[in-house]
Amino acid sequence: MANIPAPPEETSSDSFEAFFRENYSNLWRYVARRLTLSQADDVVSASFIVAWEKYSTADAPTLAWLIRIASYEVANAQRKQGRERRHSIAIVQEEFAVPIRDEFDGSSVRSALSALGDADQEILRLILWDELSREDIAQILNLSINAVNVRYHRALQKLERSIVVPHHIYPMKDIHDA
Amino acid sequence: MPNDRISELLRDANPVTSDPNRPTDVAWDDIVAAHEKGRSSSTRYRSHVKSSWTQPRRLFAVAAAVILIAGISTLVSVQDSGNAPSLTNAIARAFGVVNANASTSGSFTTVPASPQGSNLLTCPSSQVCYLESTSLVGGNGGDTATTIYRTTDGGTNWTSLTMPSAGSADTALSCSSVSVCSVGFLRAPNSSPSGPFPVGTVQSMLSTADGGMTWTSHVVAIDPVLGVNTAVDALLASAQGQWSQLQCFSAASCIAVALVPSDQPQEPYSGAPNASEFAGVQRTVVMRTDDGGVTWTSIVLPWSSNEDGSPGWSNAQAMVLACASKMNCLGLSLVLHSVVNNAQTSNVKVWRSSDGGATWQSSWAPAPAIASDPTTGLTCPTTLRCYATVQAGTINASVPEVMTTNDGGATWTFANPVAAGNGTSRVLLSSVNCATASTCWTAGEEWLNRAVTSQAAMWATNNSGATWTAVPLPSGLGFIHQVVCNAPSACLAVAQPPFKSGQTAPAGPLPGEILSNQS
Repeated sequence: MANIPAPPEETSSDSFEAFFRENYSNLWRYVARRLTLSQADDVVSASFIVAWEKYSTADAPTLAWLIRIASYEVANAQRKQGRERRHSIAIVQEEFAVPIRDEFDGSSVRSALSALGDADQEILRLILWDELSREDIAQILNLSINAVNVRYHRALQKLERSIVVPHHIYPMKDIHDA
Repeated sequence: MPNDRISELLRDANPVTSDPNRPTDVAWDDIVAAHEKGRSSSTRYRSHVKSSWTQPRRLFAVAAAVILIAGISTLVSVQDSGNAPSLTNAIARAFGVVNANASTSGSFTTVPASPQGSNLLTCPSSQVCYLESTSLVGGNGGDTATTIYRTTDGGTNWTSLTMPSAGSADTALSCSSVSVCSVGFLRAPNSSPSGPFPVGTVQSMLSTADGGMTWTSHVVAIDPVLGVNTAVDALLASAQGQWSQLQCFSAASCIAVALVPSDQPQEPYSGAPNASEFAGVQRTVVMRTDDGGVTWTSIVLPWSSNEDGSPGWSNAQAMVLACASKMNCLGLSLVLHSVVNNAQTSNVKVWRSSDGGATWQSSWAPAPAIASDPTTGLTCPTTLRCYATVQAGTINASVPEVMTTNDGGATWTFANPVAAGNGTSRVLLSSVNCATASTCWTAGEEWLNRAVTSQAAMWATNNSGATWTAVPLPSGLGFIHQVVCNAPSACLAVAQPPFKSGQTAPAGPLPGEILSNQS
């Protein structure tokens, strides 16, 4: 037998690790904005596991492609969370995400956001919190770019109608004068 | 408010702008571990997969929900009592004996488990496992014969697979998926082979891609290592080595460890050449195939001096190998020292490869480790994290410990599971395996009553080996060969009946016993 030669590079595995490292933080924030922090790590892991299985056959793995995968995991986790709350078994204080750099208490804005429909909430989060491009969002939501824009502006209008922001809690910007 | 002001307001209400809680390396390790362990099984990570909700699936979901609720209730009640939830409680609830007494009930009564301990269990999924069982045929000195069994229901029922020829697989069995397995197979030349490397032995690799229904066979030359002493070379020219371990990553790609005869002297040789003094000295060879066993390449691990620089029986035992991926492998070998002042000593050598076995770097395990354990005593859930059961201390007063590395084998820490549970009883750890990078089980046997009887013993950790907790087990179980965990709720263990002092092993096979933690 000949000596063992250096085997072919595992390009798929190696490149997936690079893909993971490039997108890990962004995906974690995407997930943490939609779930509790205690759920985020597991859901991010689950998303990357699925992504790894699909990675070699994906046409062009991108963050948008990854978020589309993660969106299923987030939805499942939200359904599970809903079931557990209905059963009211676990008497555990959920560790919800808290603002990290807010200069004001954004709870009223987030409360207004949560009053919108799921589709409206998601388009606003994708654009304003995840800061994804319209092209990426179109891929994630399986919409045209034009449809993304239309849905975004409608969602903003709905948010404006539902939002109640006392002037004193946002003193740095005079939002009512413009 | 215009839209741009609203959008600015909402942007500032972003609840999460920080970096993840877990460092990227830690998260990557966990993902690698889950990927390696559960490619075909981890339903936890496949919950998004669309599937039809058949009646059995509905029933399973209901059962899972009941278990989940029960688990939550248990944890809450423990928390209410002011104690932290313990891993022991969870495992005690989860572990149940599928067939504790194989002689009286269950479908496993016909499955033999060798009293020599050469069984090997591998579980490519939480439900599908393969058990290789090698038994003496015809009493001591007779042949060994291997049967391979398969379960598709997590260990409840087992069926034997029809092999293309009689022979022995020893400990070389590996499955890269639920249906793709390979076996390193030895076919002895006659009914009474003699010596460790009987002339005429044929080694082959048997492979199946349909769960054992059909097999293909390729003869594999496992040649001796010659060239040191020409007088001995002639005696060993037609000898063949033996499989020790096999790990497959796909139907095509496998890495194997074999022990081969060599003409390497085991001690500094000062007299006239004498073949009998050389024969039987063994060398470790690492082999790899990337075409399903048709062709193989190999490397002989170097014969090194002892840790203290003195010559000795370097690598006289086969290296124990664990590969977290096709490229990244870690091995341990027991290196016996020369007899010094009538006191045999040994150390554990660590081998590392990051190029699929093409090259190896070696170092010595820290001083407490004096002996590594068989193939089941090493596992690497990630490329950086490995666990090994070792003997630590001195050769006449050793204790079992679990040796853990978090940097791919460069440094190691030690923990003694026994101290956490069963006092000063003499314990032998034979196996360690992990459900995740941080949750693992180690098992073996514990000798009682001044080494008159023995019973099965098991410990678990959920903090990466920092501490180990004794796992309550049913009575009537002896030595646990191996524990295999494929998912947090899917572990199987293979045990023998308890041994009693004065007992002699019967000529035929002993019944094996299967433990399961699946309800």
